[in-house]
Amino acid sequence: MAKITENTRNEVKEIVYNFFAEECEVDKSKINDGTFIIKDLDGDSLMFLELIEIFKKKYNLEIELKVIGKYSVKHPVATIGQLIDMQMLIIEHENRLLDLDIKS
Amino acid sequence: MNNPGIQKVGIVGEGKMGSGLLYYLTGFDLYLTWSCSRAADIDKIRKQFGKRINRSMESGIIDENKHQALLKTTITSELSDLIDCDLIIEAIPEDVKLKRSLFANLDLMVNRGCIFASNSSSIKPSLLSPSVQRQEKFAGLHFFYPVALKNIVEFTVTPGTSPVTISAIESFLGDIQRFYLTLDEKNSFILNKIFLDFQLAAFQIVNQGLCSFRQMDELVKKDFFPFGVFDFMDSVGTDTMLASIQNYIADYPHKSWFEPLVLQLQEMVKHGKLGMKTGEGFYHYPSESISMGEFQDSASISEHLRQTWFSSVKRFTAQSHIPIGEINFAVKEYLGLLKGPFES
Repeated sequence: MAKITENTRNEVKEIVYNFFAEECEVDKSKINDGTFIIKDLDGDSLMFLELIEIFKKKYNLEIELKVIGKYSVKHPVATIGQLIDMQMLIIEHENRLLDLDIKS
Repeated sequence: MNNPGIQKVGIVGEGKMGSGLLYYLTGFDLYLTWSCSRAADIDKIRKQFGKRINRSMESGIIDENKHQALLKTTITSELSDLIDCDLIIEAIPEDVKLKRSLFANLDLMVNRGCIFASNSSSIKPSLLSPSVQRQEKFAGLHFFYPVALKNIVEFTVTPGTSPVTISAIESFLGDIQRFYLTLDEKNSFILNKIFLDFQLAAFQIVNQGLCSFRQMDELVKKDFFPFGVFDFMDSVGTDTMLASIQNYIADYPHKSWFEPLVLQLQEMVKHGKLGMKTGEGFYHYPSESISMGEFQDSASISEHLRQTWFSSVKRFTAQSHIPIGEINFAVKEYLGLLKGPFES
C-alpha cells in the first residue's frame, strides 16, 4: 500500500490537468475539479484508461483493470475532481481497492 | 500471437465501441486497420491516435519498437483499405440495413479468406450473413463496453459458421486475452437476456404501483447490483433499450409478457425521453441522488426479485449447456459483481 502525501495528490492533479488540456485541446486554466469530463470536455472512458496506465507505470502499481472495472461500476466518475479522488484510491489501495466496498 | 491465421484485424466504426476495441487491440501484436465512416473526421482521429501512442511512449507504457509498430496502424475512411484483413469486426450503429449494406460491400472487395464478425449487441448474425457469399466465415463477436474493463465476449455462431472459422476466432480471443462464451443463435446475447428478465420483473413491480422507479433502483443497488435497473436503461438510452428488447423477444413464445415495458419505452422514445443523452428518461439529468428510504413490502419485493434472478440464470444456463462456472464468471464481468449468482 503506497504512502500518500499531499505532494502525491498535487502530482496526480498536475498530471490529470495536463492530460485533459492536451487531449481535449482546452486551456488548462479552464479546467477545475468541478469540470465534467464528458459534458464539458467531450471526454471518454479511453482517457480514463490511459490515465490509469500512466499512473500504473509512474507509481509501479499492482492493479488489474478488472478491479478498477468493478469498482467504477459502483463508483462512477463524472468530474475531474472525482477522477483525481479515484486515482488516489487506486494508488493507495491497488488491487485491494474492492476491499473498500466490503468494509463500508 | 500463436495463431498465424488472424494477424491483420480491421475495425469498422469510430463510436465508443469501435474506438474502445481498436485501442484495446493495440495492446497486442496485430496489424490494425481502423475504418471510420466520417471522412471529414479522419485527420482529427489520426491526430488523436498519434497523441495517445506518443504519450504512451513518453510515459514508458510502450517502448520504441511498439511505438513504431503502432505507427503502421491504418486509419482510413476507405473500406477498400481493409482488403487484406484476416478478420473484420463491425461496430457501426444498430441498424440491420446499414450493417447488411456494409457487409455486402466488404464482401465484394475484401480477400476471400477474411472472417466477418458483427459486434451487435442485439442483432443475430444470421440476420446479417445472407448479405455475403462467405456465410461460413460469419459470426457474432459481442464485446462489452468498456472493452478494456469487461473481460467477456459473446461469440455467436450461426448454423452456417464453419468449424475452421470457429476455431480461428476462439484462438484469436484467447490471444487477445478475452474470456468468451461460445453460443448458438438461440442463446445469443444470453447475458443481456438474463438481465432483461430481472429488468422486466422490476418494471412490473413499479407498474403495479408498489414503489417508484427511484425506490426500486435503491432497492436493487442495496440488494443486487452496483447500479439500478432504470439508471441502467437511462445510461444505455431508452431508444437503444427498446430496439434491443424487441430484437431479443422476437423469437420468444411469451413476448406479450414484455408488452408493458415495451409500451413504456415506446412512449418515452416518442417524447424524446431517451435517457442521459437527452437529459430526461426515467430520471432527469444531471440528477441528484435522493434517498427515498425503505418502503412497505421492500423485503418481499426483494425476495421476489431474487427468485426471478436465480430462476432466470438457471434457466438460461440449462438451456445453453454452458458450464455453471463459465456463466458465473461471465455474469460477474458483465454486471461488475464481486460474487456471481452461483457463489454463496
